[in-house]
Amino acid sequence: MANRAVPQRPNGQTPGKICQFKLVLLGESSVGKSSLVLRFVKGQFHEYQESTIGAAFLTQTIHLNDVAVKFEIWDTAGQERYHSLAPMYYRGAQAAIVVYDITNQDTFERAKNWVKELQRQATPGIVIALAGNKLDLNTMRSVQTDESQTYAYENGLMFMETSAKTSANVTEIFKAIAEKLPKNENTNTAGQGRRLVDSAEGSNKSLSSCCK
Amino acid sequence: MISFKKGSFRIGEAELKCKKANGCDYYGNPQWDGFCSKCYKDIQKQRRMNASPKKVQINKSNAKPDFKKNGLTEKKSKLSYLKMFNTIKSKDDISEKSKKDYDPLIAKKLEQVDVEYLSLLSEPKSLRSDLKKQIRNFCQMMMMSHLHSPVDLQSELTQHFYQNILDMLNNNYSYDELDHEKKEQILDYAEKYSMIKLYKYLFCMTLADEEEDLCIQKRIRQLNWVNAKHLDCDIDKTNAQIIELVYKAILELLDMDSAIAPQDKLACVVRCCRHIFGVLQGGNNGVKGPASADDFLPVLIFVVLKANPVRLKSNLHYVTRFCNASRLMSGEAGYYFTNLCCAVSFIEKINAELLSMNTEEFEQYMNGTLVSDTWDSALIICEGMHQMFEQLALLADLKRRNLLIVEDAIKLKKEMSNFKDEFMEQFSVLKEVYTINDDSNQTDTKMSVSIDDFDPMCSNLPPWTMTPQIIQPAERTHTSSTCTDVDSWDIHSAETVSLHSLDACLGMSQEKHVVAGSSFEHTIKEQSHLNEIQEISIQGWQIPSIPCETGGKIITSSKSDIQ
Ligand SMILES: Nc1nc2c(ncn2[C@@H]2O[C@H](COP(=O)(O)OP(=O)(O)O)[C@@H](O)[C@H]2O)c(=O)[nH]1
Ligand SMILES: [Mg+2]
Ligand SMILES: [Zn+2]
Repeated sequence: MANRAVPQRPNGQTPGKICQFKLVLLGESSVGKSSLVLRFVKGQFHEYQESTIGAAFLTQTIHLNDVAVKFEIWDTAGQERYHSLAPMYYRGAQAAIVVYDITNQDTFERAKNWVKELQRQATPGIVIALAGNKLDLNTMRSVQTDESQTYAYENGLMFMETSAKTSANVTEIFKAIAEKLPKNENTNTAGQGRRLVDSAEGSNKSLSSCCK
Repeated sequence: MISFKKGSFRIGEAELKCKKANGCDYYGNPQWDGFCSKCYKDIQKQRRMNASPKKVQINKSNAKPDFKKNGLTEKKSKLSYLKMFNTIKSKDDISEKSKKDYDPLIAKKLEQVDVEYLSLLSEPKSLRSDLKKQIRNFCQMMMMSHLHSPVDLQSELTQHFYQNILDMLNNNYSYDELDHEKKEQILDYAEKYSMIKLYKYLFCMTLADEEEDLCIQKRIRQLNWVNAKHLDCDIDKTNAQIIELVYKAILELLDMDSAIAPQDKLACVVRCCRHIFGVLQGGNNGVKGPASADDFLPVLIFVVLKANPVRLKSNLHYVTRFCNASRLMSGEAGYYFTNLCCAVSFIEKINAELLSMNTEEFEQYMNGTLVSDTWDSALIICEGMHQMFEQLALLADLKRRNLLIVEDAIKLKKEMSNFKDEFMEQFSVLKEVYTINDDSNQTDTKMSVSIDDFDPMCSNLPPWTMTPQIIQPAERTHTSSTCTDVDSWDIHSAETVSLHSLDACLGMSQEKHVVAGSSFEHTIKEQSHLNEIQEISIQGWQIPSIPCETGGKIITSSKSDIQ
């Protein structure tokens, strides 16, 4: 559901179509979820980045041709004890990145469970990307690329191996997701009056009709 | 230091309970005249039965249609439902109802909202009336339906209303000029206004909500032993700044109950969470990097546990149902609110495993056999209490001082009137003296004798002129001997008084020659000294001259007055 748009850019350029998506990060603790998103958000596109005080909720905009895709990235608490809360986070999400650590087979198994859960419980049509992180530790790899690739293909997932450290494939995976997300012309009514509030303090609010 | 915002003080449990005589155990709510929803509804029902039994009958028979089959039937039933409302509402009914429901507090709040959005709604011209009409219709419909429609339906109708407003703004050509941000704000206005108006019908309206409120409150009380360590929270308890941020987060969360519009409640949550991020970053001069959800959620859980806000579940439900849905699905506020829901959900689920302790230990904590850590977990609250008591003490002190000031003011007033009386007395003496003096061109001795008669102590005094310097110490002794409470304020006031007397004396000596003219003699002869003296005192101590010997009498007479 691409439904909201940011009206004006700081530099006064007239915006093209702007679509906003909610993306959740899932995966076991310490696989590098936060590192990935920080690399993605802090690494580039500074111009439109909103000020944040934490890395739990971040936004970042990617430009694809004439469309600006704004990601709202929801970090989830990765500790085992909070696993049961995940559905509350991914409710209404249009995209998810399930992260595992290529040096740790257990995290891959856990990632598979996340995928299963998402496919069963999340918004139908949610775009799921599988990210094998810590590619820079290739020498210590315990999850083979082939294995993940096959799994991803069988389950209709996008797949990339990434490194938050070297920033390899970080922007790429978000870009690939952005491309796959439906930037539908008629999502306005389906959105049921959904709109976003960037900050509850009323700083900068935007309205639907990116896709108008 | 921590500042308690207005409305964030917590109220005693007893005051929150339902007002029903035979001890109903649910929470009461000012919106329901202090009853719980059940008792209130009973009363309302009874009232309605008495007022218009037929209408109730109609509504009851249709009270619970199943709205959740599929989109089509849902819409249909909704439509038929709406029609039903239209048929049952008569103008009299509504105006009568709205009159009865008039609440000055709500009216004031609505006025504030109107003022806040005044400039926004001024352009284009049709906007205000269009909006007002939609809001009015919606509110009337909700008021009519709140007693007998399921809460899910009410929520749906509300979301539908938001959508309608948005559609109106998007599809009506007269609003093409408005940019997205404006439209957002207009939507905000509609939400705020209608929700404030409907608050008492929508907030905590089901019995289930109240049960959940009580349940979670009890649960959190049971979990009072849970501390930051159990939750793996990273809170530096030795840092005053951090502790203060934790307090602030707690207070914001407590404030949520007193906010009315959904977005205002949401704003409380956002402020609470921002304080938590402050905690995680280590205060203002923190060196830690941006905190992730792994760090954030545990601290939020900790804050919820320590705050134990009243009507927590009701507040969450109210926001979920009646806040514009898009706000909750996305955006920073949506994220924080989701985390709050997660925190509450976690608290409901907490068990030994989730806190990484063995079952026996957990059970022991829960039934109170193990309490060793209570101090640790209560520390933070104790500190809050401590500060509160400190501030209460400060207030008490201020009150005491204020009382002293009032007391001193009264004393001062009394002294002034005494002073006046003394002058009256002096005046009468003076008058006599003058009368004597008038004649005394021939008989000098007569005068001295008469003074001696009045005052035997006169011999102790310097035989020479009565000047202001002599009056001044006399006044001082006067003051300090009347004052029983001696503290700083008394000293201060004593000084003020003596300054006054000094002024008076100065006035005296200055006015001496002016007043001692012929007019003065005249008044004495007219024997209207009382009026004259009053006038004199009012005119600001324009006191006539006092011959030296009579001046001495001021000291002695005032002394003997007191004694
Ligand atoms: N070598 C390497 N280390 C990484 C990479 N991504 C994350 N890490 C490290 O893994 C640890 C956990 O990362 P974090 O982002 O907190 O994981 P999260 O718990 O999933 O959010 C940190 O010490 C990171 O420095 C990566 O791509 N390469
Ligand atoms: Mg993380
Ligand atoms: Zn009751």
